[in-house]
Amino acid sequence: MRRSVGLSSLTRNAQTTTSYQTHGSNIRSTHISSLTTQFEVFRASISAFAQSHAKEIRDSPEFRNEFARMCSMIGVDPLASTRDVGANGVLGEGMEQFYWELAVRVVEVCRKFREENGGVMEVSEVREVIEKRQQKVDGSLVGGGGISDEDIIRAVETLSPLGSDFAILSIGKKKYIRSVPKELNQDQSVVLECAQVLGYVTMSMLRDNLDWDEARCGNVLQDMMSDALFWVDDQAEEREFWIPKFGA
Amino acid sequence: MSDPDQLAPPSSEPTPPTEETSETSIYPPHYTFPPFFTLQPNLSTRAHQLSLWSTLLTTYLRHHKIFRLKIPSDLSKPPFSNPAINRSLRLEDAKTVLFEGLKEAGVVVEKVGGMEIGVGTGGVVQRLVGGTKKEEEVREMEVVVWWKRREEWAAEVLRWVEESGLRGDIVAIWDLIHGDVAYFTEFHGMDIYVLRKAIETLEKRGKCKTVMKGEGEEWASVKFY
Repeated sequence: MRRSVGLSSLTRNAQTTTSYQTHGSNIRSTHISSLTTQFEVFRASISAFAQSHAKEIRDSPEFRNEFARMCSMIGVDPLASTRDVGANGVLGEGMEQFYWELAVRVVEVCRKFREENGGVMEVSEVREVIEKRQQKVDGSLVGGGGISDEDIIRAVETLSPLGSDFAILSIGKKKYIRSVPKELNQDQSVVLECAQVLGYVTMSMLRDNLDWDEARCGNVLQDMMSDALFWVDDQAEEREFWIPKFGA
Repeated sequence: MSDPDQLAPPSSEPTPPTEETSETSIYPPHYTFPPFFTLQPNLSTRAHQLSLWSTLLTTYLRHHKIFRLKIPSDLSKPPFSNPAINRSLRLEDAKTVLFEGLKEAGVVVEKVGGMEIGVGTGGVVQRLVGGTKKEEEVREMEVVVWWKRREEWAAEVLRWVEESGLRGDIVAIWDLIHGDVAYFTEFHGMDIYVLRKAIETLEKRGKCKTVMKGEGEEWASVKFY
């Protein structure tokens, strides 16, 4: 842009700026509208894809998982209800049904073992229990392909609009379902992560690895035992605090 | 799919359970969990643990048709002990299971026979006293665990008598327990004391009468009406 001199250049500059702005906003809005169209098309096709591959999505945990991942990448909630996509979510009724049924079973399992584990249960353990029960009782939930941990997590997430106490906790390398309205504090999370290695921890393990003093170790362990997050074994060299895990 | 020549792979069809309770299904997953053998200090966990123990114990005893337990000697055996993980229920904890857990579960546990056992034949129990293990000799205690209630046993005997057309007949206790006639009944091989109590219940209801008292309990006979 040529810089002009003189007073008139001020107004000219202002005009230029405005015209650039209008032009820019024009471009933006076309851009947005074309993106919106693209998105609509994409959403329609993903929905069509979901319909035509309904069986694979239902039957294969890997397929289902990849698909859900793709949906979340482009910001489509595969289970999103339904208001804006007509009668069904993107995945169709069958899929919603699947996750609802799964959520119901997750709730059942978490309730059943709450007395044993204080309401914190590893996602994979919940999955194992559900799978085992399915084998024992009838056929399967939907399809025969089994369930993945991601399915369980997604099922728990479908519960959140209900204001449920169910939430997913990520501690260390593992994911847990918390089914009681209780948060783990920082120390408790650290201790739980330590316990993941062997399935249990002791006072001296905590002292040596975390560099905490005796009182701090003792308090955390005591609290977690009171919350039923740990069971103690008094027949070892030193009292061991075990993560209750015996569902499957 | 409908190819008749094609044999289904063996894994595709679940094998039906051969027995009501197989040896492996007696043991719950908790049985391999070390803290299961330490009664938990947390009271709600403990209550739950006691109910798990009660279920395990009654299932085990029923499966093996065990009526009597000797405490502490039986504590070194399953189900009180799991050698695979080197854990066993301690004496005090076992007593709690027997006298609190089972009671809560509605199972009667009855101390029998103030048996005069010399101290030497009692069990040796390891106890933690002030952080060190001490061995302590304990007098053996014997209990009968009524994993079926007395009335249930009585009803079972009565049903069997009716089904075998033995009403009005005299049956020897020995035959009930050891004889071929009652081979397929649940009370075959049962504890004489338990059977005796069941029969007393029937006697009270006028369903039978002990007609011949033999030298031992087993030699008595009962007439059914």
